[in-house]
Amino acid sequence: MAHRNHAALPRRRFLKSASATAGVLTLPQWIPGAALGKGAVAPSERIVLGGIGIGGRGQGVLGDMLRNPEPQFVAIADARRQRREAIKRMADEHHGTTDCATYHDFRELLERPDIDAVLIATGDRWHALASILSAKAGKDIFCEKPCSMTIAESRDLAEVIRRYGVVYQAGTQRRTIGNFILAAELVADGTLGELREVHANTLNPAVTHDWLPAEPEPPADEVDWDMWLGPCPWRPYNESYVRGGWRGHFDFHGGGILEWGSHTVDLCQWAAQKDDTGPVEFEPSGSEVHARYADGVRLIMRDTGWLGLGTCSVRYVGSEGWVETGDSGAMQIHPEPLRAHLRIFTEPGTSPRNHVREFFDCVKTRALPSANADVACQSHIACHAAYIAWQLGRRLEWDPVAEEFPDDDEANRMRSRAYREPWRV
Amino acid sequence: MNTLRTPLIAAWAAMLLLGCGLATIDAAEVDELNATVQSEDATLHEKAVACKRLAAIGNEASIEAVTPLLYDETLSHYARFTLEPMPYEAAGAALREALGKLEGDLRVGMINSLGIRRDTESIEALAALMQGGDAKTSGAAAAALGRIGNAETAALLEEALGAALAAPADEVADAALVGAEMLLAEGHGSESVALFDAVREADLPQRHLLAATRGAILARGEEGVDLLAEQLGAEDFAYFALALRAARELDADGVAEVLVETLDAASPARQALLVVALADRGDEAGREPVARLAAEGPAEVRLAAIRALGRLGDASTLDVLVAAAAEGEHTEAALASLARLPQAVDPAIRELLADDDATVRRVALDAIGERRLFAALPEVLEAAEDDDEAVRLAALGALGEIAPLEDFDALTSRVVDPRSPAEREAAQAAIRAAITRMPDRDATAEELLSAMEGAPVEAQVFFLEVLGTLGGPRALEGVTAAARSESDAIQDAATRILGEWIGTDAAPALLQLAQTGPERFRIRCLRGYIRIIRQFDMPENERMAMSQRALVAATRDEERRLVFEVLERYPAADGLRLVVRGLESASLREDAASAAVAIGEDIVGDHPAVVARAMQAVLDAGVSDDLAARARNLLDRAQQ
Repeated sequence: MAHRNHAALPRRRFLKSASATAGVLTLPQWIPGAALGKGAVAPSERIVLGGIGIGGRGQGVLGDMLRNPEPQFVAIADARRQRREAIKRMADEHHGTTDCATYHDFRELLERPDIDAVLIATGDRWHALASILSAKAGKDIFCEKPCSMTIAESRDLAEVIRRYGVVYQAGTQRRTIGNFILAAELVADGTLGELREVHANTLNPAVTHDWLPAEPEPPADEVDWDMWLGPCPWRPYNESYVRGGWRGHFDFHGGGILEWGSHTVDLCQWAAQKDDTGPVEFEPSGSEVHARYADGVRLIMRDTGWLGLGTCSVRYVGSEGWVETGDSGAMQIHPEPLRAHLRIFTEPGTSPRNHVREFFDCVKTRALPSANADVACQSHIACHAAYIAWQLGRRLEWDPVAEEFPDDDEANRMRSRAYREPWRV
Repeated sequence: MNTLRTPLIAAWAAMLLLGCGLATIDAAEVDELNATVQSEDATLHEKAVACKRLAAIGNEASIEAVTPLLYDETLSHYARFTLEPMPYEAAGAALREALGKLEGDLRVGMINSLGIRRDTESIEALAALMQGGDAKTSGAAAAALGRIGNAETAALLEEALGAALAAPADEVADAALVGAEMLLAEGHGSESVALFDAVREADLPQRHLLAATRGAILARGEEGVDLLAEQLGAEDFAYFALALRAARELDADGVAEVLVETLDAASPARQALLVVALADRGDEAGREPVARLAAEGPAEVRLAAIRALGRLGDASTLDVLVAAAAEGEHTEAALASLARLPQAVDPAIRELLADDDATVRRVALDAIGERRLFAALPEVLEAAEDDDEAVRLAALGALGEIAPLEDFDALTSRVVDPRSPAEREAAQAAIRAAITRMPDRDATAEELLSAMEGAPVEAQVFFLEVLGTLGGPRALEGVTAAARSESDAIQDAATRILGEWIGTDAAPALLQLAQTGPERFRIRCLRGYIRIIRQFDMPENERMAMSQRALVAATRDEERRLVFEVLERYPAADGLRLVVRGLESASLREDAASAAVAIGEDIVGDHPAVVARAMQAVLDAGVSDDLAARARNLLDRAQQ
């Protein structure tokens, strides 16, 4: 048995205890780091950690990371001085030191041989390329979602991660949250009968090609605009972009399908046990996209009609019933007798606690995390293909093996975007 | 804001906002885009957007149109954006021509695009640049050759591995690794192995040697097991770690056996890692050696082995796990693994409840709960009366997972009249767990409501909270009745729970309580009602009717504003009419106008007459300048 790229569901009910997550071995601090040697864990049992582009969400993830005993956060790279300094303060206060290094170009951080792993929490535009360059530098990676901007980037990312054998955990933490695990398991163990549909909570995909009015570029030490743009097409500077206003702009943001679909489509793929493939057809309908797998199972990406169980909801529909759950941890199941399979959950779907714990364990064991690059690749490709269908406003066929839209030149040409020079994967 | 003047480009950009694309490529659109990129009048933004659109729909004439932009420092990337994904040979020719004329980063851009296109025509030029270019150019050329990935580029890259080039050695190495992967993917296994081996032999940073070794193992397939075994035995931990990863990837006979063989001679720390790899693979060959380590392995290995048995274990490993759970040090891990064992071990777990050792009984109860072993109910009910408190608490936990409704009083009675605070907490946790799985919600609610009768207020509040989580008609009825009880504390809890109800079924009760319920909690109930209008999916006419009722029930501007926010969130003509009525109130006028304009901007396309009337009303009411300007603009649009 090999090629365990997908996170298999357990053969038994997952466990209610907080430390146990299904489909993976979550093994808190059980390998003595000193025994592992350089390359996996620092001899002092520390995992020496650096950060690339850490803003609001990234601070939350970093905070959870620092609640674990292993990480020593030693460096932050960010194109914005204000954020570099904020993260340095956070790290120095946590460790009681003053030596967290700051860089405006993350490639300098990657050159440091003492750094074992990086947390990447830039805007969407940098996620794949920063991960790829980190992998080439031999670093293990925890990267926020979405993992890529295009189908081609998704594939490149997975290949580079495999090539260098580094640990990659996508920030799709719901794979290690109890209610989402149980919902997937109810599909896997046949409780819901034959699977018919999986529903993913996505957002409106709309984005814009407009440019904001040009403003004078600040000094590079304040905001390195060229570095901020990275592989994206050049446009004039406007402060709004760097303050979070990049969302909704085609060049920088994956749109509403990627925004939540990177979580929820990923969960659907997992529940449907399609971690190593994707749908074969995508059809847009208003703000929704309806997809179909080769075996007839339908994947519905929609932004309305949910029961209100929290953000990033999913619903799995089988011949014998359905289950819906979301970030609140609450679950609804139909028909009522199926309630006998439910359990109680308190961990919110937004919490990265289990996910970062699993990441550190995998850094030590070299095991594949739940949200590894291969499963992230497939679920992101599904999202990108759906987004392309939505942009084109027509039904598309997709070949998940060849990774192309058969006989559809226009759609195929949207699978990638040329990087701005001199960037390359 | 730079918006687009050219109609068709603007139409495409708008398409991304509206999600209504073009079914087929429109030749007129392509012509216009081609003209835009060549126009001296077009803005930079218009050319940029045109290039992006042409990437998907451009024709051969577009190549001619964008090619001059390859030489423009600002637009060169945009031109490559168009050309790189194009299926036409002429696109490659344009990039190759520019390759020979450009320098610096723009030339690197051409190299990168040719690499992405796997342009075999450019191999010679790329090879020359790899050999003679500056560091950046040489590295980019090597990467492009790697991407092209055929026998010719493999030879070039193999030669480059040992050559003195300006390109950083790691970039050449990465290119060679990519080339080897390309060869393997296209069925040239032996050539791929040769290139991986060439990288392994080169003088390179260790991470590239590791990557090459991994590639060499996997590219060899069945014959890679020996090389894998060699790495598993390596002194250098980095090679051992790469082998752990490769062992999970290699699809070949004998991998599990190699892991097991390595286990015996490995250090304890490495044994632990090998155990995880065996568990990840799930091979039966790993079960016995891992069970042995779980029972009597070195301290640093036991925990890994105990956890691994959750995936590798069967009935033969039950004793090891029970003993581990009972000894204390690894209880949680052992319980987790016990819960995952196959069903065949169920009778053996039940037998443990008769053990003299209270610790073993507690372990068994935990396992029964985790496994939801319903058949063990009689023994668990008995254990709930055990003299040992830890056993009783474990039994309550297990009852939370397996007790049917008929035996709910075993739990509710411990909330009403516990032997200790710990027992009350355990019973409460068990009830919360139990109600999530009860198939008949109304019957469950009835049971909880019965338990409330005569119970202390604190217990009643707990049961109300549970009813709120449970939901359903009977629970709603019970909580609604409690909201009108004599007790202030019960009213407080019940109205709070109704205000957070999951579902729209609580709306009528909340509205009634907002109008005729206890004075102190009316505002809370109205806000709960408005929350339902805002949060839940419902037909538009229902939402409008509820909004109207909320406005009638509201006694303060704060709640009226909340309704306006709801109407703004779900823009509709009826909602606009409702909001406009707010213009009559001086204290609400600005908020009503703001909501009206926002709604109007969303629906003007579908309801121009309604919007026109509403905007006229906004203007007549006299509002702030900003709002008036927006209303006037909207009125113009509506009238057009």
